[in-house]
Amino acid sequence: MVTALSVLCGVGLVMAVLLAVGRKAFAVEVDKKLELLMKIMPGANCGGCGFPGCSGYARALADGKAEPTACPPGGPTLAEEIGKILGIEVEASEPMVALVSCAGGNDASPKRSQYSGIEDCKAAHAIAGGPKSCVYGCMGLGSCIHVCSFGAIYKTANGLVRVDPEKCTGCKKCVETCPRNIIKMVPKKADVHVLCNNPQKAKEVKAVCSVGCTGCKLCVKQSKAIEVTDALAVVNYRADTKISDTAALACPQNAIFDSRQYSITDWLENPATKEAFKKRAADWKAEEKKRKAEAKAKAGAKKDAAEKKEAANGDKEGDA
Amino acid sequence: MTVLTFKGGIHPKYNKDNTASKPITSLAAPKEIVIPLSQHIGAPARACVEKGDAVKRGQVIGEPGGFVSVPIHSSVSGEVKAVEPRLGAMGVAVPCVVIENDEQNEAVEFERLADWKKVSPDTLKDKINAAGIVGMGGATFPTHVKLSPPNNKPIDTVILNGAECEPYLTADHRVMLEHAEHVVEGLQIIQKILNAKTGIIGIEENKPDAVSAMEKACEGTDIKVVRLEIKYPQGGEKQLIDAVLKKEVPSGGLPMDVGVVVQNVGTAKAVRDAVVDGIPLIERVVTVTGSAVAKPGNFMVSIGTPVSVVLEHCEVDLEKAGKLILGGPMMGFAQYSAEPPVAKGTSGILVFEEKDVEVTHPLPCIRCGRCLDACPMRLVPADIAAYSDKRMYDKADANDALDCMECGSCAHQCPSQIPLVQKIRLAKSEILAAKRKKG
Amino acid sequence: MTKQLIVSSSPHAHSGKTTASIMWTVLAALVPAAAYSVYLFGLPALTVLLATTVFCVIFEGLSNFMMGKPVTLKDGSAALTGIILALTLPPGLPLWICGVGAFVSIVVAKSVFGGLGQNPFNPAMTGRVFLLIAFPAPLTKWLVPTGTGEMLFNKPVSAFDAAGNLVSAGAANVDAITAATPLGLLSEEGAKAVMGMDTSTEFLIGQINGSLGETSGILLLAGGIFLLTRKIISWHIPVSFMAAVAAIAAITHAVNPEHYAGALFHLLTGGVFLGAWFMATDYVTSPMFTRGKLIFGAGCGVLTMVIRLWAGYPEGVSFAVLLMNACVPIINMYTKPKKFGLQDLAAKKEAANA
Repeated sequence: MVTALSVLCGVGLVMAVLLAVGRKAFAVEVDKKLELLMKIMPGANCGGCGFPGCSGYARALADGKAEPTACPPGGPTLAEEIGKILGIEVEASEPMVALVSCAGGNDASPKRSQYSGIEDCKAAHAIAGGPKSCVYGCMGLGSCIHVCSFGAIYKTANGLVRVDPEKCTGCKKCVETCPRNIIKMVPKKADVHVLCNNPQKAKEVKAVCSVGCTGCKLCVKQSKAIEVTDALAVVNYRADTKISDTAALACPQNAIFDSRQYSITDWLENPATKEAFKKRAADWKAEEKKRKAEAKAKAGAKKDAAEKKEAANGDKEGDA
Repeated sequence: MTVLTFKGGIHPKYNKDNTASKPITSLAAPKEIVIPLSQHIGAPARACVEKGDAVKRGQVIGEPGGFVSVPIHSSVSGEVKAVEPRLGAMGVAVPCVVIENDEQNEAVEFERLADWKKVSPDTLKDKINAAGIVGMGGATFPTHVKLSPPNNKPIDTVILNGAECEPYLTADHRVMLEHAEHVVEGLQIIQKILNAKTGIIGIEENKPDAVSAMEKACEGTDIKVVRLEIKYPQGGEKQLIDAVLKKEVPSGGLPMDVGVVVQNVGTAKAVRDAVVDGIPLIERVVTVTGSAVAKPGNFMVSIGTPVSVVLEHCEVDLEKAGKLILGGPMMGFAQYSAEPPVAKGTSGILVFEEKDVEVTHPLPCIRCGRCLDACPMRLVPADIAAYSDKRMYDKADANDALDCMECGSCAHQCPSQIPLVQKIRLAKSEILAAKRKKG
Repeated sequence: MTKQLIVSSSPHAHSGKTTASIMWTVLAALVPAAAYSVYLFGLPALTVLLATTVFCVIFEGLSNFMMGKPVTLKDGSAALTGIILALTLPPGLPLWICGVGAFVSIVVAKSVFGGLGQNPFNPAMTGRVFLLIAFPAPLTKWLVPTGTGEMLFNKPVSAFDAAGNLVSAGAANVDAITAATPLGLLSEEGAKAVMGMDTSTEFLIGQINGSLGETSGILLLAGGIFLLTRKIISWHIPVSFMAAVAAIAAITHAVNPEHYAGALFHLLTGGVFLGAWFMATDYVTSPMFTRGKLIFGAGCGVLTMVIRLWAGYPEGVSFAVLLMNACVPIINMYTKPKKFGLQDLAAKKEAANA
């Protein structure tokens, strides 16, 4: 009994000493910084930083080969923490989110063919240009949903996909996946977006979608932060000017979305909201017209007066 | 006579009886012709005419955009109405030259060549290049490039592909019957250019009339006519070489790696017409058939004729149609509209009634192995498709996705109706994109 | 655009042979053998057949519903599993045991793995083996064919009343009459016990007791050949399976005829025909390549004979098939054929090196 106990204890003791020695002798050297960095990584392994996963990014950071602001899911908070660990100053960056710049659901831009095949946008786009009338619009097959590691993208009832800005970390995976380049990175705090991706001229756009941007530039008149290139209005998110809420109202196609007035879910999926907005926009437009007409009448009156004067002068000259 | 074949492949319903006996008839060019500037593999042609220009039949309207490119010619005389994007066969708008046909049919002077045997191979090649000839079986690869193998790859055999294994299509069949001498002469020209001793014409044995017509035309020459088993894809380049010469083109390689060049019989005729008569490729034989076609047939159609015009002539009621395909049923492209024009590679126009086509609802793979039995490249389509589903494109590459030639045999056989070709094609494009990225 | 055409990837043609049509064809091929078992055993066989099939279909529907998947009853795979399972069970099996078998087959062996096409093990075999291990007594109670006298294969039959007590065969209160199967006799008493049996006619036509599908060799063979002609199955698995069984039986018989029965006896008794033609050929759980199929079939045959001759169970087809199912991924890995254009490339490289 005693022998057995002492032998067991002895074996245990020897093993413990061996292990302790082994731990010191064969210790794997780990960079202290790397260890700390690994701890604060978000752990999504989304690849948004351009390195193979979170550990790859941490290693690159420790080696000084990566920017502390490169992690989209971590955002400025993580950048600050990384800065603390690495002992460097980090400039705060604007948080960006993905935005699906298409509002042409099945109701607005109907299907032009019956697609039979795999649920993948790239594959569908390669077959007769996809089933949607608008070849620049969202087909809603959801390739972006598959690549999103954060479950931030979902399908809407009317055949589109939408990014939930609260869940989106800005990793840009969806942006790379979309074969039609519909998903754009926008500042999270931006309120006004042009929800159209079609650069074609008015006639072509109207033929395929009832809410497509025709490039009419009416919105440009309302706000300097909107620019029109290739007959497509684009919000210049870098411009400091606040976009007036009349920009959305001025759009004859209802292609501009203003998050200060409606939630995007309502805007895209609730027909009642759409109707209400349409009415508001129409009212505003009518008023604007009236205002313009009045202004014109005034100007016209002035002009008339001036013309009369001129005519009178002319008569005089003729006489002379 | 022995019947030659390859391993794998399928036996689809051929459905050629409707048009096989219909002689080629010419279709008058319509009032408006839309000629795409890219009807071939390679760089698109550059338009060299402008709106308002008067053009003649056969006049160059697009200059080649590089070595792997060909010029584009006007198929009618008239006035250029626009150079603008129009709907092409892939469902998206492509740059086109739109010409209003003045119906005068005024042609440029074609440069005839009485005795091509006395001319140097390079001159012949230039003539082929100038005529804008591409592979007319559907691949549309510029012919002059195929006829310019590097010096270290001597060509000893030219095989003319008269298999026409695509169901429904009979364009090549009719060309062999009606222009047998021209096809043989075309083959001789190609042989001269390549300095190839052997010329072989392979024809599937369901076209005995074509076999005897070609045999008759080959009398007095060294050219052999061989019969091939009725099997799809017997006309696939690598399968044809395997069947005729018992040679396997190495994976990732080209027929020239085994000293062979394969040309379609239609291409051979076009080569002959270009060299001897000086006529560029401005019209081609198109088979129009399918269950929704009241008057099917084989037609000589001017390049640029909108499909809708051809269908009108064949009395197709598009309201009853369920599917419109440019090309054959195995490798052709489904269309959502009849607006695209007939191009150099359009070998057929198929229209099926709504009741004959359906939106499929694939079931899970049951690992029955029909796809791999059918695959002429001896791949495992089910595995590649499964990796494509899971977006594991590197694994798909390791399973030789890039060897797939998209013949469609696997999907034709799949009892679960899985769109295998589409999945593999997606994997292929992703693999190639990743390789390009790496550089 | 008023008219919407269908657009899809090439090819636009299909062979017309669908998963459902394949399943129903296999089912049709099994009908003669199933019908014959009903003729042979009467109502007890019919109830087992119906109960198992109905239970399988119900469980399939239920698991589809619970997993939120599209209902897959139309493809016929559940009904087919049910019929095959029934054919491996003895007639007169209590219905609730049939239900348990169906549950294990459909839910445990198939739906849990992701449904059709995802299961590594043959569902019907899994169900049968589960029952055999869980309920050994009812699973080895072999009813004799109706019209058999008091003797079967020169052995007296055993008669039971409704409570399960042994009674005399001629008694009025007999509920079931059973006897050992030929394989059971062989296992317990050696080859001498089965020597006098008429292998050529009784076994081939099926005047024997056993599971529903172990009776008529000729009808199963007919079903298998029907599947061959319809190109539903290839010859590789059944032929290599039966060849391996026959070869081992012939060799052992030649070595010691006193102890081991002959090739024909082993082929025609038990589930070799059912296993070789209908269970080992299940697409999902068998190899995809020709060479692999031959290895798989031979493996099934060898394991069947090993279990029959030297293990505790008199019959080993279901164990053999399941064991070989487990080997399928590795068989597939090593039997994948070389792709087109590789042979020449290898030859060229060698030539270049030389």
